Amino acid sequence: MSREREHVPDWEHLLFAALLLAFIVWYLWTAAAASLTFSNLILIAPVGAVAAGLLLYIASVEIFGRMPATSASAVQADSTASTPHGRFRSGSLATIAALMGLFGAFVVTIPYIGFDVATFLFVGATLWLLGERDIVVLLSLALGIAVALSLAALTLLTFPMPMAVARAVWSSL
Amino acid sequence: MIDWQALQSSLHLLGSSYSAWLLTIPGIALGMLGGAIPGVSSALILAIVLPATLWMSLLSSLIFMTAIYTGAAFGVAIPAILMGVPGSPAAVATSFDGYPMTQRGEHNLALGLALAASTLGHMGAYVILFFGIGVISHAVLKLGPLEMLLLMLWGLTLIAALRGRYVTRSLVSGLIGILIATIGLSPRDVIRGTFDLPELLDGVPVVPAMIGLFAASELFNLAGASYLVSQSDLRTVRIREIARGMVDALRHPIVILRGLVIGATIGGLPGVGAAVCNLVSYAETRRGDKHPESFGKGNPKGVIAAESGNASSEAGSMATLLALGIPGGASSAVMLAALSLHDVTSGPQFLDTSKDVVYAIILNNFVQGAIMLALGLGLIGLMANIIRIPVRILIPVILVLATFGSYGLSGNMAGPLTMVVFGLLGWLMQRHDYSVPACVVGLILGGKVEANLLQTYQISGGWQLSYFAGRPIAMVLLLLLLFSLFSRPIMQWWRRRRSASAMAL
Repeated sequence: MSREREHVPDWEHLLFAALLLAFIVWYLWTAAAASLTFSNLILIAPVGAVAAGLLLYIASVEIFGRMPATSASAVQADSTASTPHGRFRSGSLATIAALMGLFGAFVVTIPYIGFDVATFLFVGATLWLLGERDIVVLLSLALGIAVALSLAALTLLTFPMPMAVARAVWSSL
Repeated sequence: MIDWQALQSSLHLLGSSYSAWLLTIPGIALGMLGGAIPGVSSALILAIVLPATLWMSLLSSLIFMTAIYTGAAFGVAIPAILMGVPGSPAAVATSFDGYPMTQRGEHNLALGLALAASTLGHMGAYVILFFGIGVISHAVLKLGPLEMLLLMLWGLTLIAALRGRYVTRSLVSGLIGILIATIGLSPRDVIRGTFDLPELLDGVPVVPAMIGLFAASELFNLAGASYLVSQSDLRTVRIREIARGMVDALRHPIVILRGLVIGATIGGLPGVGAAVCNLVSYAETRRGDKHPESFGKGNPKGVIAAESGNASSEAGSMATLLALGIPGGASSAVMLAALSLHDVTSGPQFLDTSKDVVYAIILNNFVQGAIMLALGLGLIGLMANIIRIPVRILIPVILVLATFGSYGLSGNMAGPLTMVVFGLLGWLMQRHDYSVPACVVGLILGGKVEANLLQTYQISGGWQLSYFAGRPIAMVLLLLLLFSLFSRPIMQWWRRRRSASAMAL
C-alpha cells in the first residue's frame, strides 16, 4: 500500500483523458444541436454518457490514487508495471515523434509534390531516421519503391493519384 | 435438397470449361498477394479485374472472382499475423493472437494454423452451401433489423473481452470507437461531427482508420528496434513448423466447426459479412474456453477461430448473392456488377434456372480450397521472410503501401489523411493502455448498430412488445447471446458458492 501514498498522477494520461472527454462532449453537443430528436440520439447519447462517466472515473482514480477496492486483475497489473508506460518496447520518444512527423508530412504533401516524389523522399528520410547509413542502399531502396508503387498507381488505380513526373514518363513510353 | 440432374450438368460444365480452371490458380494467387498488402481489399482487386471479366464466360468470370475472394480472405491474415496490421476488418481478430505469437517467434506456427483453418473453413462452409443454399437464402430473408442488431451486439461484446490492463479504459475506447463510427450523415439524415468537411459525410473511412490505429500502435513503437522478432535464432522460416501449425489446427475441430457455421450463416447477412464473422467466432471461442485470459496473448485457438470464421463467410455471402441477388458487402457488390455485365440477374429465378452454374461454382470452390492450401504454403513460406527484413526498411514500406491502398479505397486524399489522424490517436491510446482492438471493433460495428437500432425502433412502433414476441428467431438469438455472456460467470459464482459452503462445513 506504500504505492498509494507515493501516488503521483500521470499528467500526460490525464491530458489524454481530458481530450477524449472533450471530444465526446463536443460530439454530443454538435449532434444535439443538429437535431434534438430521440431518433438522432438513440445510440450516441447513451454511449457518450457512459463513456464520459467512465472517463471521469478514470480521471478521479488517476488524480486521487487507486480506490481501495481494486479488482484482482488491476492489482496484478500494478505489480508488473513498474514504469507508467511499461509496454513501451523500443524507440525513443524523439524518434517516434519524428517518424510520425515524417509520415504526416508525406501524406499532406502528396497533392503538392506528387505521390512519386513524396514516396521517394519519405522512404529515404525514414530509412535515414531509423539508422540506414549506407547511401547506396538508401537511395536505391527509395527509388525502387517509388518507381514500383507509382507504376502500380498508374496502372491499377481507377482514381488518378497526384504525380509529379511518373505520369509524364509513363505516357511518353 | 440436391438437384442431381443439375449436379450432373454442372460436372459437365466444369469438365468442358478449361478456361474456368485455368483462371482459378491466378485468381487465388492474385487475391492472396493483394490481400497481403494492408489496405488493398478483395473489393479493390475485384474492381480492378472487373473489366477483364467481360471477355470471359459467365462461369469463368464467377469462378475467377470467387478465386480472388478466396485468396484475399487468407491473404489478409498474413500481415495481421506477421506485423499486427490487419489488411481488412475481416482479419482483425486474427491479429489478436497471431501477432503475439509472432513476437514470441512462433510466426511459422501461426501462419500454418491460419492457412489450415482458412482452408477448412472455406471448404466446410461451401459444403454447407452445397446442401443448404435454399435454406440459407430463405433464412436470410426472415432476418430483420432486430436480428441484425442482436448479431452486432454479439460482436460488440468482444469490447469487454479485449481488455488490456484496465477494463474501464478498454470500455471507453470501445465506446469512442462506436461514437466515431457514427460521424457523418446519420441514418436520419442529420449531419454530425463532420467539421464541415464534405469528405466526412460518408463517415470516417473505416479501413484507413483501422490501419492507422493498428499500424501506429505497433509500427511507430518499433522505431529503433532492429527486427520484429528480437531473438535472432527465432527469425527463421521453417516449412516444418508451418506444417506443424497446420496439423495443430486439426486438433481443434470444434473451433473450426463453430467458425464455419458462424461464417456460413452470418456471412450471408447483407452488410454484416466477414467483418463480424471473425469477431463473433473469436468471441465465442474465447468465452467457451477453459482459459479465456490466455486469449490475446498468443493462443493458437484464437487464430484458428478468427480464420475459420473469416474464410467461411465467403460461402455465406455467395448464398445471398446467388439465391437472392443481394450483395453482402463491397466484394459481392462487384460480383453482382460482373453478373450484370453478362446480362444475368441473380436471385431466386437464377437459382431455379441456372442451378448447374451455381453447383459448378460450389464444386470449383472445393477445389479452390485445395489449391489455396498448396499456393498458401508457398506464399507464406515466402512472406514469413518479412520477419527477417530489418524494421528500418519494413516501416517505411508498410506505411507507403498502406497509403497507396487507402488512396485506392477512398479515391481521394481522405483515406490517407484519415490514416495519419488515427495513427496519432492509436499511438496515444496504446501509450495510455486504452485498448486499440476494442476501439476498432466499435468502429467497425458502430454505424451498423445505430442503423439497425433505429430501424428496429421504427418497425416496432416505439418498442411495442408484441413486435418482439412475434419474432422467434430474435428471441432465440437473444437467449443465445445472454447464455454466452452469462453462463460462465454464473457457473463460476455457483462453483465458488459451493466450495465456500463446503469449506464452512
